[in-house]
Amino acid sequence: MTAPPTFTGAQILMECLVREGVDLVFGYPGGAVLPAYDELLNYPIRHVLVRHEQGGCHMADGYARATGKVGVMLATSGPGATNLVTGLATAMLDSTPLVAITGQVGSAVLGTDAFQEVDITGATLSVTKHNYLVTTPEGIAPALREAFALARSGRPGPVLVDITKDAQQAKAVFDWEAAKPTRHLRRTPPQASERGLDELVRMLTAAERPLILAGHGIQMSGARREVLALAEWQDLPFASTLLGLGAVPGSHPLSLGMMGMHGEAWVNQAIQEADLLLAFGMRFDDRVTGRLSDYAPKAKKVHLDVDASEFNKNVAVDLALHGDLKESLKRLLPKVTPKSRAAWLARIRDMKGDAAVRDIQNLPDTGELHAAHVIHDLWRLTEGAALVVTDVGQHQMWEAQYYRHDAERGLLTSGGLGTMGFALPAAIGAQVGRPDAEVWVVAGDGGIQMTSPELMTAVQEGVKVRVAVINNGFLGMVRQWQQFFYDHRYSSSPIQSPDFVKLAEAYGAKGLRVTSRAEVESAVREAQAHDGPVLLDFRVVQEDSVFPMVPTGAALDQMIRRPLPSALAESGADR
Amino acid sequence: MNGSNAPMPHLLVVYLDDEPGALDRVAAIFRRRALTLHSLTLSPTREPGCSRVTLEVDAEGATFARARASLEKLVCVRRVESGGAREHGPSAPHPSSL
Repeated sequence: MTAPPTFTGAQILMECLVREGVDLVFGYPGGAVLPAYDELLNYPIRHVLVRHEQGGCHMADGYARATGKVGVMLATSGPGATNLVTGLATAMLDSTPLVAITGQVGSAVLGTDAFQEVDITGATLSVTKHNYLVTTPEGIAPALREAFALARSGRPGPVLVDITKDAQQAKAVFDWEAAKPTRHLRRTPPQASERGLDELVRMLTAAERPLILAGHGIQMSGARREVLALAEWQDLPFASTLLGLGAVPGSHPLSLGMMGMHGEAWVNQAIQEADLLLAFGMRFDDRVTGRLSDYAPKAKKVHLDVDASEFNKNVAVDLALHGDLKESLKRLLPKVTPKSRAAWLARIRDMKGDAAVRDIQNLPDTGELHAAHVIHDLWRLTEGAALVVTDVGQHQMWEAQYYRHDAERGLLTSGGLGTMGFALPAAIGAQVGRPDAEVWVVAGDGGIQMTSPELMTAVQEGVKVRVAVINNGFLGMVRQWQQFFYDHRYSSSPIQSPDFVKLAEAYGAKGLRVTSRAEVESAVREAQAHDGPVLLDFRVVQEDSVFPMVPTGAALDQMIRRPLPSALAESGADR
Repeated sequence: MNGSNAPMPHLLVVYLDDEPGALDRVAAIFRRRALTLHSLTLSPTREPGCSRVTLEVDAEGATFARARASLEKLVCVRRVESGGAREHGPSAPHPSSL
């Protein structure tokens, strides 16, 4: 009998990646990961060379969010690994399935402060679902297989695998079957109990003003059809979290739009008046609830989630159902009979009240370019079908308000961590994963400068991403908070930018400048027609604010509203 | 409770996989919530590959429940048992007596 064949650790790593279905990794090489990079040439895996590991992590994140597959990032030890931290935390907060693989110094010098050594498993402990320090070639396959299983299972998230250089170089027997993971099954969620589902039916029957809070979990569970079936059968209006936009279609007659700090006033008011809230795959984030002691005071609350640690974390609930959303709703639906709630829906329509006249889209055209105009026109010109990736700040909220998302995975944004610099690299990852999608970045002039070198990645890789910079010369959301809560003292919020058109051209991309609303359409059309990366510099009104706004610590229905047009005409104030 | 308003220490017994870093993950659950550990003992069990951590933490109510729920999410944790609240005695009991 011949001895089983042996492989180097680097070969085992690549064998595992291929078997996990990976055909694309984002990465940046360096000393401690060179054996893996050398072996990469022998395997059918595309490598996208990034310009900074943080950008690479966001690309893997964007790829995962856009496709539903696990994103993979490869980096070296030390600074290569620490540069991943923001990207991992972003993925952790938004539950993105991601596997980051880092090279590590040789096992013999671990803990000696060797060149480019950092304790990355220690550093990333709280921003990963789990992580591994692998010091032998035998340890690679079990760690990798479990990492992928963990990243995908239950509530998804990022996992990091740190592999010493000698473990990549040494040889071992590769046994795929023996490396089959089991520990992730410890956390397989129980199905929601029959009693709990029956209780939910009773609560629904008794409720007069019920409302669904639609979260990111709907998309992750693939429960869109079931949620819509329940909503339509029971005449249940639904409000979305930021990450829940598109999980259920925004143009559905029962859709109210976004809830929370920058949600429309009537949406938050409806939540405050509801007598039953059905929270599906969301986590009652502070940006969603406002002051907790006043949150939805009249409502019984039902929380259905895959992660039991979310129950009663921020909001005490009357019924917690632990399970996969899709499976739970599939079992719920046969128990539910159709019901009409005309009075409640009419009441919500009434609550819309004067929102329409305050809407910036209905204000007289002054010739000035407002961000809300740009977003609205972008929605119109892309027929609502683009895959939009937003950064963090005012433009992110305007996009959420004025681009109506109907398709799942149509909006990618850093909701939980609020990571500036996320959009451009995440969009590159999304575009690589879905080459047929029309991918648009919407970013501010602050955030785009955090990761703009990734434009070069887009050019080198031929990624046709379109970048709309909402350029107002300020860190806009900081300026808005300073205006409202710090007596207009604009401490370090004015920001200068390079000539974005020239910057784009320097990278070999196309650059366009837009200064009036009349130019928006032709610029967007030109970007759509261009076969390569394009950056559009939209010079918008500088001191514009996002309305409505629930100030931190205020109740959800205590909003700062957009001034009425008559007040605007008199004062020339914000709109 | 020494007359103070500090939370009552709660006892937790955590069974976890015997592997490097596992104790770190358990301790981090409390550290990131700024909770103080009063005692912590790591000992082997008869279960193969399984260690037992017995700890006392200054937390109660929802804070305690959240920390416990987070412990139960750790991949390396097999199960968590709660020993309830206890008054501070002159000395903590030896883990073998728990």
